[in-house]
Amino acid sequence: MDRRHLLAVLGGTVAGAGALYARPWRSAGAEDAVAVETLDAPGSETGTTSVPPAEGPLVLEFFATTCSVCADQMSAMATARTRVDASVPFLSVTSEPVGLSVSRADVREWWRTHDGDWPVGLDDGTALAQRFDATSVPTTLVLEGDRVAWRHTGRFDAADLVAGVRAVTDG
Amino acid sequence: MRRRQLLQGVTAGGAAGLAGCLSRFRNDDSSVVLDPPEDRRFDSDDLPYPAHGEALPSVSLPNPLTGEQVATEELDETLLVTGFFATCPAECVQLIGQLAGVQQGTVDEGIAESVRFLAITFDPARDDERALREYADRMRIDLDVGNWAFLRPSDPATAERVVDERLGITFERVAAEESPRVEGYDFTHLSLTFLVNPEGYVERAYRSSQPDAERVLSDTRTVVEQSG
Repeated sequence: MDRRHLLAVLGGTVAGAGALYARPWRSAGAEDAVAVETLDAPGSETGTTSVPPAEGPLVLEFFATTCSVCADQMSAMATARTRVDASVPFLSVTSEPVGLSVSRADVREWWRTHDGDWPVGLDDGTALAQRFDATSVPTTLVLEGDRVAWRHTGRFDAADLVAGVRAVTDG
Repeated sequence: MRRRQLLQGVTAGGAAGLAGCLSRFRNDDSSVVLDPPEDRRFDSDDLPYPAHGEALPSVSLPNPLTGEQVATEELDETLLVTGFFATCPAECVQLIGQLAGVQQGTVDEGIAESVRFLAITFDPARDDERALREYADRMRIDLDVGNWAFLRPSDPATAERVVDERLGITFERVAAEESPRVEGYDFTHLSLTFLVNPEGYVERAYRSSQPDAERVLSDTRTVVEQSG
């Protein structure tokens, strides 16, 4: 999917979502939700998903295929997934310049090599990273709707992420 | 600098009537071809580093992969200049990753020969030739294209003087015990990339650890095309 197509999708998404994301200290607008292209890869299907979700939790991780810490953290992500409510969605996103120095096939191969087993997507034009100020990788967030309930940059233990998710799902 | 002198000669000659038809005259300062960035928050002279319309301070440093001395003043390509350190686990991964994408874009668009990437390490103690070659491989930088140069100051004091003080890419060494994220010492630093036209003037100073590769590529293409 090219950028124009994604923006068209985004426009459609945001029109209905503006009211949901409205917060008293910040006006909701087109920049508030980002359309993420998901890839056909283990645990992931080709499609588009809107981030942040309209409601409910989402574990969102920013990674890069060039980032060795991200590779190390894949097992912590996988472990955390087995310990939280199965209905909690996970999404890993790369903000790398896919289509230039990195191909979709590179991302898929990295995903397979590091045993990814949940949706993986592309942050076209770094829009999502900017939305969540994810200037480093890995950055991992637990969202509840558009509220950031937990975030961590760098290495983390699966138990910390599990606690972050449970604070939302059990709260 | 011949073109610049020529342009100044033309404008001094009462060429105001041309301003409407030649895009490179759009700016009050004809040293640049791009308008000021739409999202800019400060005037260039209020920033602690060279920004839109200002000259890039000249820098001359060795390229440890080729043994050449690279002097920015002697280059006549459009430049993308940044500072980094190769053991940086996070923010430089994003920055250099985006620039590697821009490099591939220059190849795809047939402008690779008109653009030169200068990535200056401010960690010369660790970033020797071997470390930089491995880094290029890991970061998907294509050294065979011939338009990407790593520059390495001879020692930490030179790095401080050139990268921090001269270019305004400020950095500070952080002792190992104060930063758990890398073995040995770490750095805090500004993530800053300059797009510089062939005349040596800054067209853009991207202060971001992940400038969007497509945006940088588009700006770079405009500078290449309009700098003829």
